[in-house]
Amino acid sequence: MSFSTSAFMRLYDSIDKFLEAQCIWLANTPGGTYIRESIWEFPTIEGIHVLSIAMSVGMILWFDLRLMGVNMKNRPISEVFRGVYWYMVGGFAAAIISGMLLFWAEADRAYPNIFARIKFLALLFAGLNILYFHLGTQRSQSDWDDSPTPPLRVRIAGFMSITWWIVVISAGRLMAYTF
Amino acid sequence: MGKELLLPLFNWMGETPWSKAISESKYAFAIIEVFHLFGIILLLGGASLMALRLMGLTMKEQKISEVGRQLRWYTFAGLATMLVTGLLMTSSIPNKYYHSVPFWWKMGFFWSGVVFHFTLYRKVTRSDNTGYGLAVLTALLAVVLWYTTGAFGRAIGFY
Repeated sequence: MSFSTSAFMRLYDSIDKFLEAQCIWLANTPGGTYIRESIWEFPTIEGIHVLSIAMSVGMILWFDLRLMGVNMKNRPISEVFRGVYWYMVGGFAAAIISGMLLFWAEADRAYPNIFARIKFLALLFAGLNILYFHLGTQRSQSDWDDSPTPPLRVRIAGFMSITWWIVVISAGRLMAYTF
Repeated sequence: MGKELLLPLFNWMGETPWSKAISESKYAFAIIEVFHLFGIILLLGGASLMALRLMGLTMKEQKISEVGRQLRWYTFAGLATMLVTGLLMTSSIPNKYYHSVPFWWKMGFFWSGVVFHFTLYRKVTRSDNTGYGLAVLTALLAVVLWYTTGAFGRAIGFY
C-alpha cells in the first residue's frame, strides 16, 4: 500500500472511529436511553414519524407530478406549489423532529447500518436537488409556469425528487429491519 | 367478538403458496412492506390534499370536483397497493395478526374507510354543490379514518 493510500485510510479510520464514538455516546445519554427503553414514547414517536412522512411526501408528490407535466397540467406550477407548500413544510418539520428523537435513541445502531447511510445520503441528495432547482432551474420559471408540459430540465427535477424520496423511504424502512 | 368467524380465512391464508414463500424468504416481507408504505403515501397524500381542499384551506382556484378528478386515480392506486401488499403480509404470518389487538382495530378503521371512500367521499369529491358543513365532515372523516388506520398499522409491529 502506497503512503498516500495508507494516510487516507488512517484519516478515514480516525473519522469513522470518532463518529462511532459520538453515536455511542449520544445513544447512552439519559435522553437517548429514556426514549429507547420507554413503553409507549418510542412507538408513538415512530408512529408520528411514519404519518408525518406520509403527509410531507404525499404533498411534495403533487408538486413533483406537476413539474413532470403529469398531473394538474391546466394549473400554473406556482399555484400548485402554493397549494401544498405549508402542509409539506409542516409534515416535514414533524418528520425531522421525530426522526432526530429516534436517532438520538438508536444512534449507536444506526451508525454502522448500511441502510441508514443510504437514507442519509439520499436525504442529502434530495436537499441538493431542491437547492439546484431553486437557485438554478427556477430562475426561468416565468417562461414555463403555465406550460402543461414544462421543459425537460424541469421534468427531470420533479422525477429526481420523487426518486430520492423513494430511496429515503425504502432505506428507512429496511434500516429498521436490519437493526 | 366475531373474529372467530374469520379464523378459516386466516387458516387458509397460512396454507397458500405465497405464505410459505414470503415467510421463508429473508427480504420478501421487508420489500412488500416498503410497497405497502408507498401505497399509504399515495392514499394519505391524496386524501390529505382533498380534505384540505374540502375545508377550503388550499387550492381554492380549482373546483372541488376538479381536484377530486386529479387525485382520484392516485388515491385508488394507493388503496389497491395497500390492500394487495397487506394481504400478502397477513398471509405470511396469519397467526400473529389474528392474535394482535391493533390489527383488529386497524381492520375496523380500514374497512370503515373503504366503505366511506366509495360512498360519501366519492359523492362529495365529485360535486361542487355540497354544503360547507358536509364537506368539512367528509374531510375530517377521511383524515381520521386513514391516519388512524396508519397509526394502528404501525402499532402492530410493537404490540
